[in-house]
Amino acid sequence: MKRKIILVIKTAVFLFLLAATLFTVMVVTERKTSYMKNKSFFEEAKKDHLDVLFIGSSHVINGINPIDLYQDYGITSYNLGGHGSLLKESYWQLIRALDYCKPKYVVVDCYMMDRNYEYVDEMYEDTPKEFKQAAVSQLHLNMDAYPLSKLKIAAVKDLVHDPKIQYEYLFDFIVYHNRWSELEQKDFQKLTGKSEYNTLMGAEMKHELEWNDNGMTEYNPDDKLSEHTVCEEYLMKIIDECQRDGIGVLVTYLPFSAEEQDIKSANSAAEVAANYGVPYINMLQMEGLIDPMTDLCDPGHLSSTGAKKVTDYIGNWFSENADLPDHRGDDSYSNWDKLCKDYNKEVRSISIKHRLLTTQLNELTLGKASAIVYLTEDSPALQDPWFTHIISNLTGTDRVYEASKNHQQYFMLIDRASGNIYEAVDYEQIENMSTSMGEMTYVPIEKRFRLLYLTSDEENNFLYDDNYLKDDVQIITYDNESGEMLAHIYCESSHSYEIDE
Amino acid sequence: MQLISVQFIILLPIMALIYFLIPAKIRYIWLFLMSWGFYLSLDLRGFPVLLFTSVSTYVGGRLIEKLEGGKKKAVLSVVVIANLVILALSKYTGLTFLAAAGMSFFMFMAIGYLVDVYRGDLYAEKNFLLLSLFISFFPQVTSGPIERAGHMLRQFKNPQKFSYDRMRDGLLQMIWGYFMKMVIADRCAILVSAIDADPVKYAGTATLIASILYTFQIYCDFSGYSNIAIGCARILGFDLMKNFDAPYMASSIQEFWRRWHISLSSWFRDYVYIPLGGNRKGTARKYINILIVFILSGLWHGATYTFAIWGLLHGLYQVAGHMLKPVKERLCTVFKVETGSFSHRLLKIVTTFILVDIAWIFFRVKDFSSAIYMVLHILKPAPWFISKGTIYELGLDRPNVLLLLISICILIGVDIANRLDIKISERITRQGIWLRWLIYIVAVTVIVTCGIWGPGYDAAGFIYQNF
Repeated sequence: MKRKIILVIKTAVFLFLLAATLFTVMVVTERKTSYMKNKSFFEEAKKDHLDVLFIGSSHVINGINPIDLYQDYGITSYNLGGHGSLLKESYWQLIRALDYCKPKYVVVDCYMMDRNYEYVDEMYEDTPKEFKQAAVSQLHLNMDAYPLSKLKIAAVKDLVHDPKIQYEYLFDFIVYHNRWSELEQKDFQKLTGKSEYNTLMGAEMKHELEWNDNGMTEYNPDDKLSEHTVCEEYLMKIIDECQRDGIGVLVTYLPFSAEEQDIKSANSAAEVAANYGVPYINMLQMEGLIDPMTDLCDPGHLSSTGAKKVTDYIGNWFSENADLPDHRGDDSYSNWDKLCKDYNKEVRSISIKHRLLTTQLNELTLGKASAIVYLTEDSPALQDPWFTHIISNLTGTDRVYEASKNHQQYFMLIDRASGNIYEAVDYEQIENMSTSMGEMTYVPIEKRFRLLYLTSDEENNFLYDDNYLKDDVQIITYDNESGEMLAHIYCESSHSYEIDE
Repeated sequence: MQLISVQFIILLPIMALIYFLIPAKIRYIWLFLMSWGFYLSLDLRGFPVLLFTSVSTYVGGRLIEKLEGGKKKAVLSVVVIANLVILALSKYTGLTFLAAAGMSFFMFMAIGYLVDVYRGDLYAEKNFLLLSLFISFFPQVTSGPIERAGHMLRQFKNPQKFSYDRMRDGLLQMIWGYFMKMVIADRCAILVSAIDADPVKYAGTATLIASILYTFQIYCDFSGYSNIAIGCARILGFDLMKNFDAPYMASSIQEFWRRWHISLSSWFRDYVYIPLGGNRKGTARKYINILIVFILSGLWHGATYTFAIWGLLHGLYQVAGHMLKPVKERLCTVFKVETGSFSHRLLKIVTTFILVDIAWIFFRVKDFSSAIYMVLHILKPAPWFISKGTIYELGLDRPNVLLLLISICILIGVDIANRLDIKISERITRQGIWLRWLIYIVAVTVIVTCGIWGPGYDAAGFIYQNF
């Protein structure tokens, strides 16, 4: 008998150790994106810190920055947007999130409301297989972080048709055990709770710009969806759910390079919002809200500067239309202040130096550093409409086009502390420029020689260096307050706008 | 439900627990229900074939025992032919409604039983459930081992008590089986299928690697299944016959067949080769008998003529081995070869491996010309396939290829130990608790984590299940 008892105890201990080992392996091999995205959500929701939830697709992830919203308006929010998420997925995302918190407002974006299929793993009959696979993979971002529950099972069953694939969301080790061969440091860091996580409260800012003309389709306000779609139904469900719970709803259509079906969706969304009596902001229709050449990182997604504009717009709307508390200065929200500081530091770092000159120049519009830009008269960049557009966007004037048109050298200084912007074309001189570096003077002498010096130190020329005679673009950045020089970038723009990091 | 499915792994302990809790006298009924339930979950459409084999074998066995002379023979012939006709029709004519998972295995077991009863080596089983259980016993129904009725019926009638040691040994064998199947065989399969999909695209070295890996794939796939089946049966208190015994350690083709798919080889020996006269009717007849048995063995595997060529090749290897034996002995004497030396044994093992490897090419390709192309292609080496890293672009990245190599080394190590009569499982169980547990936990963790399963993996695939 005693032997039997010992055997039972030994077996139990063994099974416990085996289970603990397997659990550890599951934690390590799990794809961390969902965990990273939602870690702060669970923490902030637990503290009842979230006044606004944003739901929608990647347009929301890249278009709304809760850190800016807090920094500029004191509104605490979380970006629960999911890559490729349809409104049906957003609905379930919201339902799961409401299990953890009760926000004062939910902002729902209606991109892809034209999609009229039930299951992400089936889509339409003629949808290519790789699209379905991508959708199945993207849904993991929304699902993985949430523990197994009746709600999660219901969500998975409603979103995914194939039972085999359903299991992949309920027991994701089925998918992730294969990651053993690609594990990184961060995978193991999760065991100690010190792994990286999303520091923008769910948002992802796209800083890098890629050249595209991002043309906009002409907006026809009468074009509407020809049928009642599955996604439209779920928009209604989202509004119903919020209204039932006494949560304010704001329906949006964030801007991008929209096509015809997007315009139809936007117009139909307006009808749904009107029927429910909820506010609707259709940014597709707002000409001039964003600059497609700099505020879109690709035709579908906002860049960080675009996100800043859109977030500002939403922040203003809340200030005027909702009674949301300003949490700035509240000690219990001090981690938000720290995240703001970190984000500002990141933007500043990109403004000072980035792999792509165009990205750096665009980021300078966010004002985290002051800058001096010089282009030689034969600079290829000066003849590039995109590059000159970015410069013009930075200064807010058309003087760079003048230099471009006449093949003349161009100088620009933008001093954030004083708000002064100085520009010179051809052989124009500028004296006594007031900057946080001190009083400065710019004197172009000849094609390959120009002077930029502190009035107090004429010996030190900032814009000349024998080692960089071939480079036609120079960017100097300096600290807004102290005037300390932060970086001096040289670039030969005939090759590309890429610089050595 | 497959032996490598999560459902099976969850259900097995529950089924075993109930099995040991119910009275010994009726345990076979529970086993029978489990076996039919398992089969129904695996192949509902094939169940009528299993049912037909069970009923015809039961009735046939009873009649054979009762009848005498020509009638007895007639009944045996009718039942055997009826089963073989169904097998042949489903295999060779593509009548899929007659196909059933594992039919080649359970029909051979049934035929073996009938012949044993006919010969008077065995009494006909009166209990239909017991006989049906023998034919459909769930660990072996789909891929063997092709057991003998005398061996199994005796065990079903006298079930063992629960034994901790048997359970542990059974689990260890299952773990080893899962390792062979999920870590080695299915990993090999990824590379092999990638190269086989377009052999012209890849250099000779790739074909060589694919052919070597296939050799390990088919071994680990089938032997892995056998280990799982044998381990599973052992947990329940049953001993199934050994099906593989380090076959690639064989130093001749004859020895290879004593170590490879032992249950099928011995079945052909007992029910085909010996009735044909075996080696009792002269050398020429012996060679013919060998060739007949191996061609039949090839055809047992599948309908295409490449399987027959594979069988024929093995038959020819054996015949050539017998015929050249005096020449080999003469050469050894002339060149004073120390036949007991390690180098000589190694040379024989490697030569046998190469011959088996070449035969597997015919086994796996769709037609004769593809096989010849592959054999010739192997002779065009291109080592840069490895050095340039092309091998890592065929579905397995560097860590996976490394894991595969390590796993194959472990497999070879275990087989060498088996060949030297060192029982690894016994060695492990003799160790202190911490080391034993560490080995068990690491093994399970490696299988669960590094085993090939999940999305994109076809869980239906044990190669031998198709035969």
